[in-house]
Amino acid sequence: MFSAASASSGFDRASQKDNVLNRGGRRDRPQSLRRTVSASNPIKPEALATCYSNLSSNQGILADIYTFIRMTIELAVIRKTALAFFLILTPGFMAAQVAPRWEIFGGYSYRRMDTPTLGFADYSNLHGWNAAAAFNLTRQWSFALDLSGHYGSHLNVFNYMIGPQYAWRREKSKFFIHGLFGKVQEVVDVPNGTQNSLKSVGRSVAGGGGFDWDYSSRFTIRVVQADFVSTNTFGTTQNDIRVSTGLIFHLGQIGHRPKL
Amino acid sequence: MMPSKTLSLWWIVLALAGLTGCSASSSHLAYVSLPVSNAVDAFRVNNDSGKFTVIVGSPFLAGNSPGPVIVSPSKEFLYVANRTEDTISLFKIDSNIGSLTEVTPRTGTGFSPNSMVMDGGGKFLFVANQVSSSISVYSINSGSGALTEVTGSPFSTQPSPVGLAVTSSGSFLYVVNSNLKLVFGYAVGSDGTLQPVPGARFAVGAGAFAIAVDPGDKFVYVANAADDTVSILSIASAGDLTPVAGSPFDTGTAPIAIAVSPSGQYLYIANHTSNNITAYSIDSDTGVPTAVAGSPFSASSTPVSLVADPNGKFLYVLSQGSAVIATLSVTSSTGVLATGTQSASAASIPVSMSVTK
Repeated sequence: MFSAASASSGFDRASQKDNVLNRGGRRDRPQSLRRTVSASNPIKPEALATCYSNLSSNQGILADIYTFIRMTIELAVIRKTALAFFLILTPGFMAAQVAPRWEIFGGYSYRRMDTPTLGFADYSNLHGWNAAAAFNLTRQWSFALDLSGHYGSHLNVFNYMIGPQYAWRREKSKFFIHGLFGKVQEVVDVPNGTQNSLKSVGRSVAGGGGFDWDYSSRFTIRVVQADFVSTNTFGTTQNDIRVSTGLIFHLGQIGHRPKL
Repeated sequence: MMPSKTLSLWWIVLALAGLTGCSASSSHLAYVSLPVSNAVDAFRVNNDSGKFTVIVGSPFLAGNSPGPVIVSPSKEFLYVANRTEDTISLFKIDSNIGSLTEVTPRTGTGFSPNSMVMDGGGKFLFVANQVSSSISVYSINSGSGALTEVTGSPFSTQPSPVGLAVTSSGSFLYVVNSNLKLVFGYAVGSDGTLQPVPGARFAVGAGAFAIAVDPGDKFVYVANAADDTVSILSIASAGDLTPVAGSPFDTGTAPIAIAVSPSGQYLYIANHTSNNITAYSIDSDTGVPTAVAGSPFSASSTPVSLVADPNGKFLYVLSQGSAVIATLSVTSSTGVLATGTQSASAASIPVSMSVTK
């Protein structure tokens, strides 16, 4: 009954100030009522109106107080539950509303190069780096600049490519695909009596994609990126496989987080 | 949206495919000398298709007017005789690429080294010096490929030696000389020195030019360019030669080059003037040839050199004045030749070719 008495006392004080208007001409909610329900139990104005209406009726005051308290509690529970459901079930929605403006990637890269086309006995395993900068136009579409360098016995390969990239973002993960085109430079360390090494520059086309996993708001792990890379050097066409992994740094932001 | 598990699996498969990849099909290496370019062209040849792929960096600079080329049995070294420089270039072969790196200084020979052979074990290199009428013999360092002229080298021989053949075992060396209707036989000592075999000289046809020994060390074949025949002689245990029954045998016009299949079963003779190839099946016991059905087979114009593919699937033909390396496919069961779908163009006109096993 303590709570009922307390609520009753608060209501009485509120009744005395019921007709007080604030500066904007809006009728203030009773002070005591705000103290009772607003801190942890926000309540809808419509419910309050119902309460006021009931209080002004001919029903007994205790019944009115009881009804008011019950509805206040019910409304608070409903709002808490709704909030909990929202927070639990839709974090992806919250995250999906935003994306970095820039995603700067750098990491290790492996390349299986189609060197039999250059006369090699077998494919060459090259190791090196891959760096990329993706400028996100939307949460899905971005424009990527891709650079890579791979090194092996007798052979160094550098790629400079640009192209569109499309991403599917879900919670902390992102799948993406891209198509890239640009140039390749291959340097073959094969002295032939007139030159110590041979260099050839040609066109380069790549298609592939990968999977990213958010580590923090600033960093994402590129779990894997795999590309089919076709290059044309030394008068032949090489069809290579490139696999990269590394870290992505975020800059800027597009989109908005929803307000609760 | 594609399920994440499916996508993940797809990427893993792709990554593994990339990491493991497909292995390149088996191949062997081919080198041709280019006297006009003073260089050697290098190719990788697919064992199945016969397709030539130019090795990056090719052609590789050699000495002046490179002629005969030989790959060591170990596939580690290539030797090139520079005909107007009177030297031999030693190249190291990159095991992965097949590219060449010359090891200098070059080794001196007699005047005009026009023919060169190596024994099956890669122990000795024999060089016929046409102008100085001698044979230089070099021992080969198995590790470095370096040549060391053996004691007594160069060994004098009859004037103008133009063709050499050595048995696989390295026991006997045979020489043909321009304008002589003879083959000269030498026993090769353990130190590389040459001693005439019993009888020393053996009669063949006119214009003997090309000479070859079968892989079983049983027979010697000599193309007699002036009388359009091939002489077949059996090798005795002491290295002396005896013509097989019916020798010499007819060929096309101006037989100028000989190739023996790796099995020793088939003999191919390039006829320079009739622009074709005579093919014989050889009786392994008697050495008596039987013409292969369809012989002679059309070849490119004015063939000057024949090289048998180490797998017995192809026959490579070099032609006078042409940069094209023509490929004929071989039916291993019959020896029949067919025009191949593959050919290659060298950087300039090739005159000699050697292939790895």
